[in-house]
Amino acid sequence: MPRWGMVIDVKRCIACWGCTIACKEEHFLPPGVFWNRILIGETGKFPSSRKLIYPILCNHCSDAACVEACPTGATYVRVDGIVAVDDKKCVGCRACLVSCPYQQRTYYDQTVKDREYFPGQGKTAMELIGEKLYPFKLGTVIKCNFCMERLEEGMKKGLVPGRDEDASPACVNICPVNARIFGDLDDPDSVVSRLIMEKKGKQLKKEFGTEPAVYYID
Amino acid sequence: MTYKTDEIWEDKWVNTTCGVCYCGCGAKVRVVNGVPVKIEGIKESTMGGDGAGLCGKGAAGLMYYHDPNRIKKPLRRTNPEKGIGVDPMWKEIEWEEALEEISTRMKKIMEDDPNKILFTNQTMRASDGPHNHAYFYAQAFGVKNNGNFIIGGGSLHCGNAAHMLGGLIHGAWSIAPDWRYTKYVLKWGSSKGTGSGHSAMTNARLRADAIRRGTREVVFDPMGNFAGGKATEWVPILPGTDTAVGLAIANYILNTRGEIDELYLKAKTNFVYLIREDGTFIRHEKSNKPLVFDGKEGKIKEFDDNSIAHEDFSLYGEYEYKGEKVRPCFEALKQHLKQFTPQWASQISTVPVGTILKVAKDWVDNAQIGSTITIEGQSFPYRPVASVTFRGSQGHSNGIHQVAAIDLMSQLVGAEDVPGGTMGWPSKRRKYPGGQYERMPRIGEDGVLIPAVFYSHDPWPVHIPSVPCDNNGCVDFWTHCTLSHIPYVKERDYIHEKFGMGAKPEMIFGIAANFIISQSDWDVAVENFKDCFVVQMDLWVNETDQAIGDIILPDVSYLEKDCWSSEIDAFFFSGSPSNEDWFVHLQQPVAEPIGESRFFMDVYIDVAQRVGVLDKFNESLNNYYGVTDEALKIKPGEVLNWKQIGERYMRWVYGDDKEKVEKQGYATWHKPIEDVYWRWNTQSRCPVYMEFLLHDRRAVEKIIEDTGFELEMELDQYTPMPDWFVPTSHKELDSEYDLLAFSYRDILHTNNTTFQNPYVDEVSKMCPYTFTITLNRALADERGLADGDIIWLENRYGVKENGIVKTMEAQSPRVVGISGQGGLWADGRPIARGKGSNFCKLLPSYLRHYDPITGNIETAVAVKIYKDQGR
Repeated sequence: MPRWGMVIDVKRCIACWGCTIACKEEHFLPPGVFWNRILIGETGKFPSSRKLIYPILCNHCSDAACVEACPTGATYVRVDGIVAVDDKKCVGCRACLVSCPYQQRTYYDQTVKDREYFPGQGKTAMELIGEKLYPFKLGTVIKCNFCMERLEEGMKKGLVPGRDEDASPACVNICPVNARIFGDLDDPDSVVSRLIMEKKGKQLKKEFGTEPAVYYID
Repeated sequence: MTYKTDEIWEDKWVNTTCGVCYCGCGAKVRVVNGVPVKIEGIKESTMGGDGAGLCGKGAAGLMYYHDPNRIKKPLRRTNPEKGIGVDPMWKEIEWEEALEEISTRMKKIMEDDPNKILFTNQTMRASDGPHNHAYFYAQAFGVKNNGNFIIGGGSLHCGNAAHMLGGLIHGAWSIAPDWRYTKYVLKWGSSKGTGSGHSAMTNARLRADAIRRGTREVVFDPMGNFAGGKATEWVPILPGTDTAVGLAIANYILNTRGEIDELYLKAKTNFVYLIREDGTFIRHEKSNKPLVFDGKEGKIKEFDDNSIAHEDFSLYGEYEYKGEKVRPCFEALKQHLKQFTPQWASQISTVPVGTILKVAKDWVDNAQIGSTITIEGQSFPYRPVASVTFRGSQGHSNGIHQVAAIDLMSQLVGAEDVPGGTMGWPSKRRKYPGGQYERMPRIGEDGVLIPAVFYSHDPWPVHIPSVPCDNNGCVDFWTHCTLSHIPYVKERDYIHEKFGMGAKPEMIFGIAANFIISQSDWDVAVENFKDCFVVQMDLWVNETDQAIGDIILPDVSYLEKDCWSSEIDAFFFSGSPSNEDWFVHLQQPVAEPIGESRFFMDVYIDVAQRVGVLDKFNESLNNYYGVTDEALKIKPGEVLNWKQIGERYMRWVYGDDKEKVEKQGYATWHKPIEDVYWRWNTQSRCPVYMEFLLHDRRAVEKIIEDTGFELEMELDQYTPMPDWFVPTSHKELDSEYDLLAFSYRDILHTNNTTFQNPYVDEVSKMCPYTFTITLNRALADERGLADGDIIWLENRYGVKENGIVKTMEAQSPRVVGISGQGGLWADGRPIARGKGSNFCKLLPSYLRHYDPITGNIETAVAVKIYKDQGR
């Protein structure tokens, strides 16, 4: 069984926000909810300062703090490494929101559901159809799921995640500069494993010891 | 979490062309139950990012369709008073009433003078339609010289100087590094490959690969954000001073190092032409061709004399011709450049001497002068250094000298249109196999290229300035502008009077333009256009419509558009600059038009028919597409809509593959290597010695004298070699107005259109710089300012704009940065309202703020800053 992971090449990334918006469209996320974001800042002093760009998403940690914090077992690490939330078990206690060192979780309640992209003007046809196509359960916590539905559907057709569009996460597909590479961390010959080895991939906040499945190279 | 498939009766993908900026990336749209829900790139295409990539604003384009603020019926102003802050009191009217009023007014004006009608296009929603067709539409009405074709949405974003030189040097609209083969790239006020410029994502993809391969990128820019923030090295520079650094580098190459590509200079430039003392060419008395010196035979000959081997053209020396002392232009250049030392350039630009020298050295070291490369079995010179400029550096009152200086360093080492160098693109469009439509550049007089298509008048041959002007842009006088800015000049009426332009504008027929807030001083723009009857076709009521619009017609968004022609040329904004196949995407409707909205091309046709000029327009279409097959031509008296015209022209363009192209939504065909590096094998010469400017100057001086024209114009800029001229913004600096405000393009935004997109709006708020005014941190500390403070920027003419401070290290301490065209207020665009700050309004619009040669407005401005007293 593979363990899915991602390499983000910050040298390639130009912070176009394609990942953020494609993710919102893929999952019909309401206003204010992001499963993909970009942190932008800088380091150093003029004139030698450097711009920092870090696209962030759920790290799908193998030793995830959110899993540990979840009292009901709703949040769990799947055998393929994806950290998922079983909305039937989630009671909305939000312990995971507090415990996630990466702030990647959102509590979905009526106020979030009621938000409109054009405030006060009603929901658009897209928002309405999204509630049918990709419904979230009120009172639960939602988060990036590495587009597990895409992966599963794609693999059923014999497609390979990370290689084939229909079996890969939406944020990987949209990236115009190929800054996101998806694949099997357990396969030493996979592109992600080789990139992590060759380019000395780094995990964010490694010191928390959660073993993220998202690596950064520059 | 499951999909409720029982309620889903349709779930399909439709291929089209992205219409959020002008780059024309391939886009596919997921449509569920008739509703567009997702946009991705088209994996197979080279138009766009890597393997189906699209940028954030492209993905966000969905909201154009879903926006409830779209206008759904024509609107008519009922309040006769116009201006910013005045309620137009819109009333919905029927299309028939609107079109009858428009055409009746047009007919009446045309009886007097059709040049009183101004046409505008849009580059803010291009490739959202065949935007360049607007100008020959204007011609059908009898408008002369394209000069009534005023700049639309793009406004200050557009680049007269960059396009002028792109046309003259490369026979192309734009330039980019040859990312596939380059090793060392210099960018000057350009974000090619980091999110902006033409073919933005195509360039971004190619750049990312180049950077991974080890290409180094040095970016000269007032801020280290989009281009500078990604560079190997960001070099802070004051806006408008790139010329100084460029000339110092050229001086180093030629006079310090003395390492130049002699063969290139002899074979591909006009530097070998002989000039007199006064700088003008000596010409053959019969053929009128420029003369050169054949060093081998020791004779003066015509420049295209086949008996001269390339290496025998003389670049240096002094000769005698009919009793006159003559010398090659290059000899003059060599002497001219000696004055531009790194120390001098450093004082002007703030770039340290050591940095200038290091970049100059790296440039020559990486140029590999003399080396060759074999690609697809063909050998070309290999010059892996590229130097590119765009809107930032060229948008100054010294614009043409900025771009010429930056181009010069490439010329000297022969790194132009060869592998690894600076590429002009798009310049050619070969026939699709089995099809007919083709665009190829030609060689004109003096061996200079004439681009295959240009947006307005061709940059070559040069038209000597003349009066009377017969168009509002006065392009008879400002002959080098691609799109004239003159209609926005505060002294426009005076200019018109002096230069004999009798037709005072009475009507504007525009497409989605927002020129009131996106060009320069808002009040001047309102004053210059408020007396016109303004008709616009747009998705929303924008600021221009609200301030001065009379009739607003609902246009379709690109998602509802059936446009076979959108990027058929692959010419102005799209196409890959690299060795990649041709791709042309169709715009196919993915949803039904919103309300009563109609595609502007169909409205064009309808109006042309009512006015009685449809046959003329159709004839110009036949000519533009070069249709010679009688069965496919539009015939006199025929009334076809845009789709019906496409039925014929698609057959002409794609032959038997028409149906195949329609089915897949795009056409692709092989671009052979000789069409990538085509100029090397062309007997053309770059007019890098701009001798024509000397003749221009004489004509301009005479006109000024004859007409008693008293406005200040820096006529010394009419000089053939790039030279340093202080930009107007710098001249207006003093102890009170002590900072230079400049604008830049944010990757998220296409001028101001995208401010109304809620997806883009959300992420803009997460970006620290998009909606803020940036200041160098030390500068902010010195002024007692901190992040979150509200400050005012005020120019010396009393125009003010406010905004929220964001301090950053990566910005020159003498500048203030604003990301373009925020500060919006139209009631029709509630998402956009109040977001960001508006830079454009701060630009003074006196003629002295314009580049005298290309008519570019100075896009930096001297300001004072102070904290808002309310906070």
